[in-house]
Amino acid sequence: MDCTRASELLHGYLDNELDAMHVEEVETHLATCVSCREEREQQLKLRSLLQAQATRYAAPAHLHRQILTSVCAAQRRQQPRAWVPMGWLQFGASLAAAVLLTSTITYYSVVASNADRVVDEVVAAHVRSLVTNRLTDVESSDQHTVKPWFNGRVDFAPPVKDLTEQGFPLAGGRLDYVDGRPIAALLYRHRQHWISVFMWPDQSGNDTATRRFSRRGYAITEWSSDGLRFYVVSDIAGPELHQFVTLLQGEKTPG
Amino acid sequence: MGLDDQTTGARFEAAVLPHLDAAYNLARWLTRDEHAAQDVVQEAYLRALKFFGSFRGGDGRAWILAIVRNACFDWLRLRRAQDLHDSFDEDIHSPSLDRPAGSMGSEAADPESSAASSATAEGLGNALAQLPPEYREALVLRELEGLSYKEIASITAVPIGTVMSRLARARKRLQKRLRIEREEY
Repeated sequence: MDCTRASELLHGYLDNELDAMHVEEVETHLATCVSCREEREQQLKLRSLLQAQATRYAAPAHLHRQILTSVCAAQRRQQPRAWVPMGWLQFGASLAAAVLLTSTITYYSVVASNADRVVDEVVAAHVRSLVTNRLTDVESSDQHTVKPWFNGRVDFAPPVKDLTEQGFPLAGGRLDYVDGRPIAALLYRHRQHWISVFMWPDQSGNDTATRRFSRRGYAITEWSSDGLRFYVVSDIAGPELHQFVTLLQGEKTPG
Repeated sequence: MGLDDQTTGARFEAAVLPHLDAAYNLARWLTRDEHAAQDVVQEAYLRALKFFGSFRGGDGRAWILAIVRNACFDWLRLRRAQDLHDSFDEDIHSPSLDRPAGSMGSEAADPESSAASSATAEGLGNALAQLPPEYREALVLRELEGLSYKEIASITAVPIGTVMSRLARARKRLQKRLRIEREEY
């Protein structure tokens, strides 16, 4: 093997990309060639310099949000949905004349599709935190660590409960972005499963009853109380999630 | 239909979103411009969503990086064409009057001057930024993303042997620019 060939194969050799036969050829050549051995040393230095010093740029947070937003928007364009709950249709029909019915449908489909979008967003936020392994910004099972972490990060005080004894240890909290605003997210663990609790100030200010349903295979529970809107998202089974929600709600807000 | 689309959305998020940092890093090194990198990556993700049907599962990182890389080379071609056009205009008309100041001057600095810079992070960054884009991407994917030759070959659409010879040339050029000498260590 001549030095020209060796100096190219040297890179495959240093990168552990050569088959056994070529490894042997390179090593045989290195054993006899001083200048190629020198080249190997230089290349090793260059590599450690690159790995230690070259900047690995991280995507800015706003780019992450922009991409999510445009992905969501692109999907909505592909599938325009005007989802009207049957209950409202029947309610409207029994109550009103045809003209009134039309306006009722229009009104509720606007409200419903907005609520629908929020549900999509919280489910996406839950899934995203798991697949990107960005579970928490503040990792702690201590409610007195997690709660103050949100100071100055969101414009409300999220209630943080310790439910370790009941089998739902707190894993931590993080900031997320839902419905066009930063929100607080708490993460609880239950055996091998994760439960996300999302909360943000409720514009209407009214307490609403607990609603349970599923979306994309995730169990979702939503309610409003004390001026906050809550969404709980998890893949754990209904009764267990029910128990968790009851614990979270405490004495207030009966389901 | 609605359910299918939602599953597609979740699959898309799971397959390519975790690789956003890798995508941005590649675009940032290839375009050498923060804002261009953001635009190119966003554009690439939209392209990816559009063609997600053609993704057969498997390596989501290689798939999205290939799309990002192609978008970067499109951007580079476009900019090269604009640069040619601009310099043509300047030759004919009054020189350098309507050219935005410092638009790309700093990063495309004189190669000779940076060859003298020491082996600091900045010097290294400059030297790396001045390699031809094909060499730059091979180095970034190998040294910063830790990808295998096979993965780099599939992202850049060249044979594995070409990946190795590009890396060899890229490293030699980089070494020359940095003038790595023993006494610096």
